[in-house]
Amino acid sequence: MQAYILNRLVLAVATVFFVATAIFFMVRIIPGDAVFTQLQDAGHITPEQILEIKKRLGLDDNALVQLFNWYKGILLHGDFGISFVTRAPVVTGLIDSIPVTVELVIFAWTISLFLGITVGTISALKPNTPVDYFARLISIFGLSVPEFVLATVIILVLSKYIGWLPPIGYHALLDDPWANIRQYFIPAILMGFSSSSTNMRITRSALLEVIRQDYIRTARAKGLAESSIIIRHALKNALAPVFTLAGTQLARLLGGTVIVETIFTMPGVGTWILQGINARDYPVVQTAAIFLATVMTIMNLIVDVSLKWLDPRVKY
Amino acid sequence: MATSNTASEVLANARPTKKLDLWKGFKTFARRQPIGMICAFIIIGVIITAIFAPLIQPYGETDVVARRLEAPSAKHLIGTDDIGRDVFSRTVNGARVSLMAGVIAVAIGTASGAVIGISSGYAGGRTDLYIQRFVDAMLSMPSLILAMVLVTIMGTGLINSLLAIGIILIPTQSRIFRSSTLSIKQEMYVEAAKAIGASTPRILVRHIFPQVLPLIIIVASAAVAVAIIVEASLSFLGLGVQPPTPSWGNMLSGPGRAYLETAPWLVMGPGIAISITVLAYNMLGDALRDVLDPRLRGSRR
Repeated sequence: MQAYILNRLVLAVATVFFVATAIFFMVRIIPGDAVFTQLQDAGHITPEQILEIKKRLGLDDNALVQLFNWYKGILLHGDFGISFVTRAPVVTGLIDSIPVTVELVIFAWTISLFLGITVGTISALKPNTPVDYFARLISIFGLSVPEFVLATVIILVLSKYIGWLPPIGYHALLDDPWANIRQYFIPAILMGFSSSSTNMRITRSALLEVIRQDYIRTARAKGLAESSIIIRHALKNALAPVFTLAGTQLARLLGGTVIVETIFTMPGVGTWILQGINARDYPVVQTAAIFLATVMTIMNLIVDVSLKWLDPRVKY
Repeated sequence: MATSNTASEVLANARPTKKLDLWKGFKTFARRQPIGMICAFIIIGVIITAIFAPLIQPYGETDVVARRLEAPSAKHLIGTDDIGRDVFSRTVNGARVSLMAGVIAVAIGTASGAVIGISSGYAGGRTDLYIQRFVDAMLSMPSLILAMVLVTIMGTGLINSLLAIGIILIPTQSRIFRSSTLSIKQEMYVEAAKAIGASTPRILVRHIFPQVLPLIIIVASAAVAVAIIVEASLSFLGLGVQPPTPSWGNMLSGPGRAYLETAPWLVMGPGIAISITVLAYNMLGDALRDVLDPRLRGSRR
């Protein structure tokens, strides 16, 4: 087990390194871009000006030298570079935006699991009834309607009939806890609903399979209460795939907040990345790649290890 | 077994030469999956709309034809936008971008995914190991972010966003093809082909590929919905199709959101169009999978 975890950790580090290096070179394929974004307000541009900006941004060296310097900064000083736009260390931008995204994702994840498992269970207990059809329709609806369409409809309905408007400006948790939680409400429900579809489908199909097993028949024959059969015996086994997926889903939610954050003007990681991409802010894009790849690989590792721990039959 | 019959039927149907079987498979599908059939018709409708958009749309998609923000009327079915363009015409024309995302991006993704997956699985050993680590790396980036980065590098616009969407589809597609190839590789007839001295390309094309073909249909049909959503998301974020060219994604951003309360019809057309299209693709994908491969039932993603 230890050897396996160690092996996977080495692989994870290699993956993150590979992703970061690939992104590093990819953003430099068109080296003029960052410079021109910086100069877009200036009218006439002389070659000297371009050279000067390149020097200031650290883009005048050979790409390999730049890569070496970048990694040296990260490994020796934890310095991921300076943002081209804000001129502040990139890490500050990331650290400022992480709490927003994490809070949003935790709410959304909880809603997604709760909704998915509840609806999936109800659906599986009454297969091929109107309740089941309705639940499945809702789930495929959640899977199909893009988040930005759903968000637009929600904002439209709420603003027209309740007079609710998406909050402008962000309230920090410590400054005003109630305002803070309130502004997460709608976006979290939205993201939770969208991702609950997968949970619902998996719960339903897994539970349908488990209910047909012999030990459930035995439990019924023993005269156990139906609720106890479902919760203690059936769900316990049926939820294994759901929880396996939940870890991956958490990582996916963390990387998938761009749209919701943009719509609800939340200063999270997604907004930060989008701004970085739009401004051709290479250090931001590179650091974002490292962050996201790290989150993904670590979540995958945790999922695999906990799966092994939950079910000793799993072999690698 | 009834199910295996269906699978081989559909396999045969994939070859356009057997017309009779195609009709039979079509009837079987319509009987077993009526909802899937309705969805197929919706999709055909969307495709026809996209192809014949210039004939269907009453006005040019970028022409200013009326006063700005006019409410829906008989003349302008879903009103006009912030500079007086006909929203219905723009929505109809936007189907073209979606269709291109669904066809071109998915073709790029599935074809490359199939080539990479099949060769990785068949080669095995070190080659397989390296290719799979590469796929791991691609999978470790959230797909929308990867698409955003790719589009930024290649430049915004329709062609580049289609290419980016195709690329982000590759890792998941190739995984599916690889695992299928791994099991087919063990089959007796592959060994037999090897024993009589068939070349590797011949084995891949004549023996492995036909077995993977039904999978391609399922995988591609599921990917279409993803491609359409990612394209719309990119356009929504301003990284895909650039205005004034209409796409369902960019119609929902900018003016659409600015005038949300006073002129909700700006977002209604494209919003409903994309929702129904993706819904139809997803439900058709489910129906196809139930018919083609019952083992995969309920295991989306």
